[in-house]
Amino acid sequence: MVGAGWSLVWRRQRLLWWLYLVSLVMGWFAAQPLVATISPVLDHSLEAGHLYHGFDLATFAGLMMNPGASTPAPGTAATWLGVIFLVLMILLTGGILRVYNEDRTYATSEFFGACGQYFWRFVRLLIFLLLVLIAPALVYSGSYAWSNHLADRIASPTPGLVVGFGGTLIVLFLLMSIRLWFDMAEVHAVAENEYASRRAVASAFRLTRRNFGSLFWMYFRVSFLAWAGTVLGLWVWAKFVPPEGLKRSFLITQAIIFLWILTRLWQRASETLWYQAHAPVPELIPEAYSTYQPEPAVTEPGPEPPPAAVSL
Amino acid sequence: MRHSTVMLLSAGVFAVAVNAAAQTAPAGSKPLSTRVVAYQIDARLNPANKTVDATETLTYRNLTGQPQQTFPFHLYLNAFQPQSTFMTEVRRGGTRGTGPDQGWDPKHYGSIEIRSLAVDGMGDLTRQLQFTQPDDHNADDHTVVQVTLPKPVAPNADVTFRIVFHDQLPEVVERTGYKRDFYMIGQWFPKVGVWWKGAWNCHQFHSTSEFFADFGTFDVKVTVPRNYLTGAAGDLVSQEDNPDGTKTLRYRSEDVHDFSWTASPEFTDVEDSWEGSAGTVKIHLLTSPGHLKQAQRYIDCVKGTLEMFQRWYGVYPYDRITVVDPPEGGSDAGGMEYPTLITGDSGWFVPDGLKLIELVTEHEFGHQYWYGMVATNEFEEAWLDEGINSYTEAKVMDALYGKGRSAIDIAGATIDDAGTQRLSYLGVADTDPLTHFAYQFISSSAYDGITYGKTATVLLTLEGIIGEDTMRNAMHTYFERYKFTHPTGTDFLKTIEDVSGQDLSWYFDQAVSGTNVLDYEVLTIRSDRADWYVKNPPPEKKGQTTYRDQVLVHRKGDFIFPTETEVRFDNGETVREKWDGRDRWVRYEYVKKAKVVSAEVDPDHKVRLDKDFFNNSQTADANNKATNKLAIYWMFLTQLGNQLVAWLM
Repeated sequence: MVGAGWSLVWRRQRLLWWLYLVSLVMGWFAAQPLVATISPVLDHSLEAGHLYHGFDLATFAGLMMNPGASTPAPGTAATWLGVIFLVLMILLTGGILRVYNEDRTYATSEFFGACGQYFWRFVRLLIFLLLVLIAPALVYSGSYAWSNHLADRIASPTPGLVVGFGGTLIVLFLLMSIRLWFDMAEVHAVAENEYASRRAVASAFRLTRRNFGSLFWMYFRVSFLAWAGTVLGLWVWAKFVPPEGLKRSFLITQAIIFLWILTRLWQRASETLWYQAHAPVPELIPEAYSTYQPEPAVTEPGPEPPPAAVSL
Repeated sequence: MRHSTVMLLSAGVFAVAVNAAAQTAPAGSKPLSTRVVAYQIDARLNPANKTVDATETLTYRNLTGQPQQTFPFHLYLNAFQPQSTFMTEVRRGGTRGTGPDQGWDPKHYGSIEIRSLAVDGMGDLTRQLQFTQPDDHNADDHTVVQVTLPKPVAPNADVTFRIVFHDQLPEVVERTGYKRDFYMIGQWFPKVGVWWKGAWNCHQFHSTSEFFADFGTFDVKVTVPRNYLTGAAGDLVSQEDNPDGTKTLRYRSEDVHDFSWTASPEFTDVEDSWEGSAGTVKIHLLTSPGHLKQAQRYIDCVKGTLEMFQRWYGVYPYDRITVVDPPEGGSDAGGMEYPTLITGDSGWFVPDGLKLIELVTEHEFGHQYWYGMVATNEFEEAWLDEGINSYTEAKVMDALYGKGRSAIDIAGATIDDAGTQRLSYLGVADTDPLTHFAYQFISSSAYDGITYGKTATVLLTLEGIIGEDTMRNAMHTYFERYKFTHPTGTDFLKTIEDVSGQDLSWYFDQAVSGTNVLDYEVLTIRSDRADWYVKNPPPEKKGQTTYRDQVLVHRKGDFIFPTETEVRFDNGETVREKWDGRDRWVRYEYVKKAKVVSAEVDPDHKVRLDKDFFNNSQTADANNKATNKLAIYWMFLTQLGNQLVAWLM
């Protein structure tokens, strides 16, 4: 299923490139307030060399403390762009899942139509998710408190560390499981055109619980690839890229971001295909929604679809 | 052994005998200090209730030159009570670690109670004890007590106090107390004040100040459970097991002004030694569980620091140094200095590139010189111990771990010790002079930034004025001239002037006694064609067109400092201009067949005290590489953050 998911992502790779482009553009916008702030201080100063030829923390901290450069604008901009990115992802996820579900090329208007169709459902799902996340938050605070309690009472740091580390692993496992559950709820909502978020959550919960092993293994493998790739990328960046290697720094950091987007879409595609293969037959298929027409595995060249400004 | 013999031979008067023993140096050596006090303490640690019960015999030699009838004593542990001056200041300005500033917890309670005080020949004077508050008249502060004797002690005579006291230890606050079964017993006994500048100097315990005491001898017995490992600021003289499952260890220390000790059943003693000019120095590292892998870092740092201090400043005269590594959760006991015993700070994981262990160890060892031997008044002139020590810390750390990266060197991100010192000063540059009393700073962060950071930066800048070798020579002279005494700031500054042969009052008045900020900037650089008035001038040609070049340097701050400016031209020529800095600005003008490329104030980067390094230079052409680099980093971070947020969908 993971391999098929990869094929699906690759077939619909425009989604990947567009998402990366959105991320890149938002990153660029986030950087502009910083550039506007530090540029007047750095660009005509020889002191900037300590940041370019290396990364002198004293110079960096001096820059942050410099009245000319210490404004909250970059942080504020990044925060707002983070919010916008989240809203954008709520919007786009419905369209992405529809494309993966139907595995066909969507015209732009059709894609954004699908995005809009699921937007409020996904907002409700997000609210459900936030409520469910209280559980891992409680587990985390409990393990943190227990770890501190042990660290406070036992001279050896090992028990506290074991509890802290174990707690973190459990929380991580819970977070992944919950994400998986809600991923399936989103897939279900799209595949079945389920309007009631509560039913989507409940149905996905049953499905995920019954098939947890295979689903989690599918999800975890791709997640692991993202983590490993990130660690590798950071290591290569720190080890092999000289301080002056701006282009290489840019490429490596962007490769990491691209990997995150790629693996997330890979998870989505795999989950969609898994759902198609394993989902229970719905009792009632609403007439209003029956657009699913799977493309044949091998298609003969035929007439192109009507031209669109951008197709996804 | 010699100690006992002297006692028996001293006319049978016990008090006199104790004093004689205390005042007598080991065979073949003479006292290094003027020994004013001789303490004999017999202490028992009670782990069950975190207390210490002890008897103290203090023989005080009246070298004040006049009769003395009233004697003040420090009772530092009484600071750890809600209404003490210390706690009031902690609530106002914070303290290290998660301390009582976060809220009162009974575990932070500490006290020292004098159960009886008698004076030889004068009887029991317990009822004569009176708390006094010389600094703030806070009647609830019980950190200083004084006793008035029925008759004065004549000049050069001895007086012997016999004190029974009881300590209730707090969970570690400000370097003292317990954490589980780890005990750091510091500032734990009634300690007599110092007669200084014609008066008793015995300040209350403040949140930002440390200690001040006379030199003398300590003969201390500590009784602890038999499974405990101990360390102390003295040589272990004897050890015996007691029938009740405890053991008694006897330590002796001479020519020091304080005594602390530590005990824990969890310690591992890592021993090493270092050969110095005065003989072998035994190094004891008492590490806590989980920290053993950090032991070599501690040891290497202690050895390296001993080496550098001996080479640069003077001989380490003691035969021991004990380093205590507090356990997890006990780091509030870390980073403290006592004569021949220091506390470090580490953890189960400290990356090699993060020189935290080394910074703390080096700093606390440095106090063996600047506090331990050159025993300045930490209440009134904290810059003389913490500040000078921060300066030598920067020098030694650079020598041992590399200039530019002696504090952090991780994944290409670097900072050296001098850089951290300057940063701590930048945020509080104009709040207080170095010379404020420790407890009279505007805030605890100002105390830290000025006392540690500014002093180090002032002295690093001074190197640029008188030269590094001269500065080192001055520090060496200062140490040799004032070791085992209580010098003042004036003594220190005069020594520098003596050695350098320069009148540096212009600098000291501003940097030490003043709050003026030093900030020079290159305000403008420009190159105008000399033939600007000609209609249709020939096209500009490098090396042939003549320009009127101008560089305008501005003194932004009020600190007047002679400075140098380097001007570079596009034909490769470089000019250095000197300016006394008295006026607010200076303009340099040139007529050359070259344009100005850049101008830089303090091109050799000697003036560390300059508050803003960025405006020290200006280039004609913009170079946005550093900006782009930071933009790439920031962009990556925000994109990564966005991805994490998007995980919610």
